[in-house]
Amino acid sequence: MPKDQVEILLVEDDVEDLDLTMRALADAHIANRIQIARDGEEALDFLFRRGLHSERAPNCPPRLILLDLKLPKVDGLEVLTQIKNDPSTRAIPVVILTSSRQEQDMVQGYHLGANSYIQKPVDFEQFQSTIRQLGYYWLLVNQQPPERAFD
Amino acid sequence: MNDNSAARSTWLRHLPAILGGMAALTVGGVLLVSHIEGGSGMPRTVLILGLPVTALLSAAICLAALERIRLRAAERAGQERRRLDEQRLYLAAIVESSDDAILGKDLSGVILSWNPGAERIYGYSAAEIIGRSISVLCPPERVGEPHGILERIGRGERVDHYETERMCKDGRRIQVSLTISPIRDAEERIRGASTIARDVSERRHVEAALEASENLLRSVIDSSTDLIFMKDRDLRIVLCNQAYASALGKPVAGIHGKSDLELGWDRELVEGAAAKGIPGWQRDDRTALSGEIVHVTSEPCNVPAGTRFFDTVKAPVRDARGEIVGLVGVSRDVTERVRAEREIQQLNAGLERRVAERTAELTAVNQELESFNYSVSHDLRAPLRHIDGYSKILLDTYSQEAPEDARRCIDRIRTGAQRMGHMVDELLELSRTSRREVRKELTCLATLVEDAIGELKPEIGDRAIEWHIAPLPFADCDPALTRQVFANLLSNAVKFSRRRELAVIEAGQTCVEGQTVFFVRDNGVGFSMKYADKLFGVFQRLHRREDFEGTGVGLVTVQRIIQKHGGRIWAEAELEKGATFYFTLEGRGEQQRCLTETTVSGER
Repeated sequence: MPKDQVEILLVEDDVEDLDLTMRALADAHIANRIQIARDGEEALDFLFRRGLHSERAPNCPPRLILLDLKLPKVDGLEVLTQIKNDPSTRAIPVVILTSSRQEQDMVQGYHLGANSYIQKPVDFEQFQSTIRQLGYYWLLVNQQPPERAFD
Repeated sequence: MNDNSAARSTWLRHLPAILGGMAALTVGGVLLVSHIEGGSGMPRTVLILGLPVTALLSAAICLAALERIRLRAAERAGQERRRLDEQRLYLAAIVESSDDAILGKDLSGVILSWNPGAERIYGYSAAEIIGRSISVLCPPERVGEPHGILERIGRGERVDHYETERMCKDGRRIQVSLTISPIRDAEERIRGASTIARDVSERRHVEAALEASENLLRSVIDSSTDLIFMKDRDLRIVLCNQAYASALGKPVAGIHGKSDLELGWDRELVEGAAAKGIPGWQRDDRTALSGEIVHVTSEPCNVPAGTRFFDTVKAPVRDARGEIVGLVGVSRDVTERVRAEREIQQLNAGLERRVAERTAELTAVNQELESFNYSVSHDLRAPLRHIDGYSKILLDTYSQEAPEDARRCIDRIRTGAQRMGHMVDELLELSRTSRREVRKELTCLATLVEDAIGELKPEIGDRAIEWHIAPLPFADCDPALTRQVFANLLSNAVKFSRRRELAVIEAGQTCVEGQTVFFVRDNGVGFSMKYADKLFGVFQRLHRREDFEGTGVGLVTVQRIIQKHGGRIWAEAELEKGATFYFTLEGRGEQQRCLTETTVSGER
C-alpha cells in the first residue's frame, strides 16, 4: 500500500452529516487518510484524476467509497454508475450511506453494483456502531482487491 | 266408301240394263221410221209385231233397272239409320258414364232426362225425378233460381257457366258448378235446356281452406312488427306485411310487383356502394336466391319516418320440388337498440376519458406523494440525526461539567428526536404498504401466526403468556401483508396485556353472518368503546405514551392492508378487561360461506 493512499473516499454534501461521520470514524479509530468530496462531480474528479485532482498519482484508488445518494451536480447513483462502468474503479468497494430508505434507491443501488447499502440511523449511538462495523469489515476483515483488479 | 262413289258404282252396275233398254228403244224407233218413210220394204207385219215387242222389251229393261236403283237406295237408308242409332247410343253411353250430372228439362222446368251421374250427385233415381220440377233440387231460398234461368234460355239468352248451391235427396247441401245450354227441336225452336252439373263442394272446401290459410298467414305476418316481405326471382315484391307497407308509407297493394328501387329505397342501399362498404340488397338477394341465408345487422335505412336501423335476414323460398322460386326477408327495426348501444358507447368513451383523466391525476398525485416521501425519508431524517448526534456528543464530551438537569434535558432532546425518527419511519412504512400491490395466493394462516409469534420473542421476554391458537385455515391473501396484520395485532396484544400476571392471548376464526372472520384477543387493559372510532386514525392513541409506547400507526397499517384485500376490521373491548380485533380477508359474498359457527372459547 503506498503511503499516501487514501483509505476512504467520503462523498457527502451535508456539512453536519459530514462532521458526524468524521467524528464517528475518528471514534472508531479506523481511518486516518480520508478524502472528502462534497458533490458527485468532485468525487468523479478525484477518482478519475481530473480537475483539481489531475496531478494525483495513478494506480492509487481509495480502498473504500462511502457514497451519499442525494448530491449536488452529479447525484450518487450516477457517480456509482460511472465507478462501476470503468475498469480502473470497478473493483473499489462502494458502500451507499444515505438517509433514504426508498426501496427504489436500494434496488437501483444494488443493480448498479453497490457493495453495501446502509441507511443512516437517527440514533447517533447506532450510527457510531454502524460506522465502526463498516470500517472494521471493509478495511480490516475484507481482503482488498489485488492491484491487477484495477487494470 | 262415301255416298258419291256408292251412287256412281250403283249406276255403273245398272249400265248394261239401261244400255239394253236404250238399244231396244233405238231398234224400235228405226223400225218405225223406216216404215213411215216406206223405203226399206220391210214387211208390215214385222213392223207391226216388232214395235210393241221392242217397246215392251225396252220398258221391261228400264223397269228392271229402276227397281234395282230403288233397292239400292233403301239399303243405303237402312245403313244410315243404323249409323245414327250407333251414334246416339254412343252419345248416350257418354252421358250415362259421365261423373257429372247431366239432365234435361223443358222450359217449365220439368225434368225430362236424368243420367246416373245425376243420380250419384243428387241421390234421386231417374224414375223418382223424371217428370218432377227442377226446383226440388234447390234449397228453399233458391227455389226460384232455375225458372229465372230457364226464362232467359227461353228468350234465347246465353247463360254463362255459374256456381250455386243445390240440395240432395237426403237434404245435404252441395256446391255445384252448372253449365246450362238450350235444347232446340228440328225447327230450331228452343224446347228446353240441358244442365251439366258438377259437384264442386270438395273444391270449394279446398278453396275455403286455402283462403283461411292465406288469411291466417296474412294475419300472422301482419301481426308482426318486423318487416316481412317475399320477392320473386326478378327481385320484385310478391308479398309483404302491413309493417313493411307502413314503414314505406304505402298501401300493401301498391307494393306488390315493385322492385326496391321502384319502392323508393335508397339507390345506394339497393345497388350497393363499395366505397361505403355497402354490399347492396341486390347482391344480398342474389345470395339468398343462390340458396344461402343472408344476415345484415344494424343497417341504416331512410324511411318516411326518418332514419331507422334494421337487422335483416334473407332466406331462399323453395317450391314443392325444391326449386328456389324467390326469397323471404324479415327486417327488424333495431333503432332503439342501436341508439342505446351508441349511448353506451358514448358513455363508455366518456367514462374512459374520465378514468384516463382521473388516472393521470392519481398518477400525478402519487408521483407527488412519492417525492414527498423521498423528502420525508431523506431530508426530514437528516436534521433529526443531527439533533441526536450532537446531543450525544454534548453528553459524551461535557457530561462531567454539565449539571444533572442539563443532562436530563439533553436526554429528552434525544428521546424526542429518536421518537420522531420512528414516526417518520412508520409513516413511510404505512405509505409503502398502502401503495403495495396485493398479490393473493393460497396461504397457510397457521404458519403466518406461528412466525409472527416467533418474532415477538424479544418483546415477550420471560413474561407468562398463555396462547390459545385455534387451527386456522388456508386463505386467499397476500402472505407478507397478512403476516404483517397478525404481527401487528399480536404485538399489540402482547403490549397491552403486559400488566397481567398471566396474559392470555387468543387467535382464531369465527363465523359472522356466514362470513369467515379472524380474530386476535387479549386480556389486557382494553379500551373504552366510546373511543373505538379513534382506533384506526393516524397517530391516534388511546393510552398514554409513558404507559404504552407506540406511534399510533400500526393499526392504520393493519386497516389499510385489510381494506386492500377487500375485507374490514373492527374491535370490541372493555376497559381493563381486554380487546378483540376482528377482521375479514375478503369482501362479503366473495368467499365460500362458512357453514358452522365456530368460536374459540375465551378464558377471560
